[in-house]
Amino acid sequence: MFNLSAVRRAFGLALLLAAGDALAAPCLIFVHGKQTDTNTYTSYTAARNYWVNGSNDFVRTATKNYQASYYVVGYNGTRPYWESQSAGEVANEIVNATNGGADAGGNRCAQSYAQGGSFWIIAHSMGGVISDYILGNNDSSDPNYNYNGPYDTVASRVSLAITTGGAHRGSEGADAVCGQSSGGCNWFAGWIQDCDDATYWLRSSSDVQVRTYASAPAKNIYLTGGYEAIFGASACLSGEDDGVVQYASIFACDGSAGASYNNSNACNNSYKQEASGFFNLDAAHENHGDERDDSDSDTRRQIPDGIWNCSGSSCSPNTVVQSSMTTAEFISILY
Amino acid sequence: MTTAMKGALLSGAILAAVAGGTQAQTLANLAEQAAQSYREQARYPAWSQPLARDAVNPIVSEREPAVISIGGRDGGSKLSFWSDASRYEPGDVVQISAKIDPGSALDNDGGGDWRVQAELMAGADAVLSSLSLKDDGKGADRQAGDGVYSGELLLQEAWQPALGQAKNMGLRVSADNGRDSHRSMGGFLYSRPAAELMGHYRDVVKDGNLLIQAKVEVAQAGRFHLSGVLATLDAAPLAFAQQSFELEPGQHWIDLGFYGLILRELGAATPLQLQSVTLSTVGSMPNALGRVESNVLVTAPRLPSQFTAQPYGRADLLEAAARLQGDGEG
Repeated sequence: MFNLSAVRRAFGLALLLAAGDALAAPCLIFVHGKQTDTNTYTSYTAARNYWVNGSNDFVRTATKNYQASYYVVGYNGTRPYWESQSAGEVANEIVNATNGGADAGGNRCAQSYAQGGSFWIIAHSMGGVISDYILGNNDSSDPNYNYNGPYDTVASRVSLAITTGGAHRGSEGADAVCGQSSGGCNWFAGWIQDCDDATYWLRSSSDVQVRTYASAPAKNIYLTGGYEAIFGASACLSGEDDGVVQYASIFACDGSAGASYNNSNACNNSYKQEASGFFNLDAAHENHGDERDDSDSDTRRQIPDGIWNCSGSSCSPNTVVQSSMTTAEFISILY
Repeated sequence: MTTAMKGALLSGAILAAVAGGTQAQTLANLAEQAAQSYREQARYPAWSQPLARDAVNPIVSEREPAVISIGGRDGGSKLSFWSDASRYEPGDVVQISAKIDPGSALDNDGGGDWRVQAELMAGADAVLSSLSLKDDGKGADRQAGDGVYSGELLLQEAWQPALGQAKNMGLRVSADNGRDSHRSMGGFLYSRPAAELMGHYRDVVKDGNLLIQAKVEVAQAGRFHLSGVLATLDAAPLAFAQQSFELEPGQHWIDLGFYGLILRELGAATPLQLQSVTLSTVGSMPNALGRVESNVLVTAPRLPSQFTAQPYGRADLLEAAARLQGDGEG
């Protein structure tokens, strides 16, 4: 027979533990990637669903079934990464989150910055480029200091950023789409169906690269991404890729944005697009969509300077470090 | 139960599940790693950072023109193209080059001669000018038959941005031999800075820091960004510095400060060189990037003791490190 009072006590303890977790864990702030319409900017449901695929939910998994608090940002993903409705909107929303304000779905961080809270940005694809721009223009010495939002406040309050499939150096897919490529390179999934203004600014040409217009990030940016090809599209990308973004970009490498990298030779932490602030985590057998929707629990591999240790020391690059783990699960064990 | 303990249990459960096929893995503590990194970075200001040993010069690296490539998978043909710089100013001539790699696939035979075209674009759709790239050893093409097709384009005044601004120019290149066809887009910045470096520099030590003073001529009031890289005389980059200024028209001396602790820690009394310096007009996107000037100043030799021994102590990074310790410990 159940002892009801014992059950109540246990339930109460569980609630207390959950509340304690939310207070101790960082608040995760989710920044989505490029869009082909303005839905994520005008609709919370669209912004939230960016992270969902059927019953799979990146936010739920990354927050350990909501034990950690979270905030979902929605911005205009059709605009260039540096504009007011993209970087400006993201910066304002992050400050709102750190002030204890709610996102458009009513979710708020367990503690505000003033209450001692800490905040991690979780960004996918173009969200990574926006993070670079904001965190690299937070100081009055930076070229585009507080360009269209409170970048300085964001940088002072955020503890770190994790990008998954970040288009830090642009995408060769965007080059192909804007070049009106033909043959095997004319098909790209999702966000680069056409050469809109956001896509134009996500090419791999130096004159549109975020590193040209930002300094080293004020807070560290940690890098993970996928190496599962997408048929057709991957044929247009150099080295390993997630079907939309090539490794040189996912891992924010210095040198050519079209350099050919794989899990064994991806650029290490000493060869990044800025002199400091970018660090490798690992790579997953996920494509660009899988990286943000928790749908593909698959192999994860170490990359140079990656975060996984094998028997007490850093695993060799390309070592299989997990046989079945989504990026959302991976993030959930980082805090 | 602390968050860290629960995280360890969760990690352990996941790791145990895969123990059969892989080595025993653990995750380094991200929060602790970040906190340690911030304590190190906090020793220097945001406006002046040391460069890692064997680092590349970040200013030069950022200005490298991109090589855009398409094709080449499964032994197929491949098109690569580039311009000779990543930024130009009014009156400059843009050298455009494209290389065709025929690939190694057996079925690559059968195509005719390659026809290579370049189009200058004002955006995604607006073609300003087009030209054929040739591999004939004439004009802009250095050597006939080497597989590199070349052409040049004079940037017309009609296309130029307003003073103090810049435009992103798309460069769409296509290659077709009747059997294979490739096309992609690169580009460059058409820049019209509102100020320029005048070629006069001097160095002083002030408050324990090395100040490089640069003379600039401002044509139009605005916001300007000065950045530079200090290197050894044998060209090893040592430190990066940047500063932004609001300036009125006229001539000014402006300061680029290298934090003294960086130089003190080097421990050498030898002169250093300002390996790269550039002045850009900022305040609107895209920024009007200025030219990169190279090796413009050799500093006076100074004793390490002339530079500050004090860590800068960036409060924001130290605060972040403290909060991250909380994340790591629960």
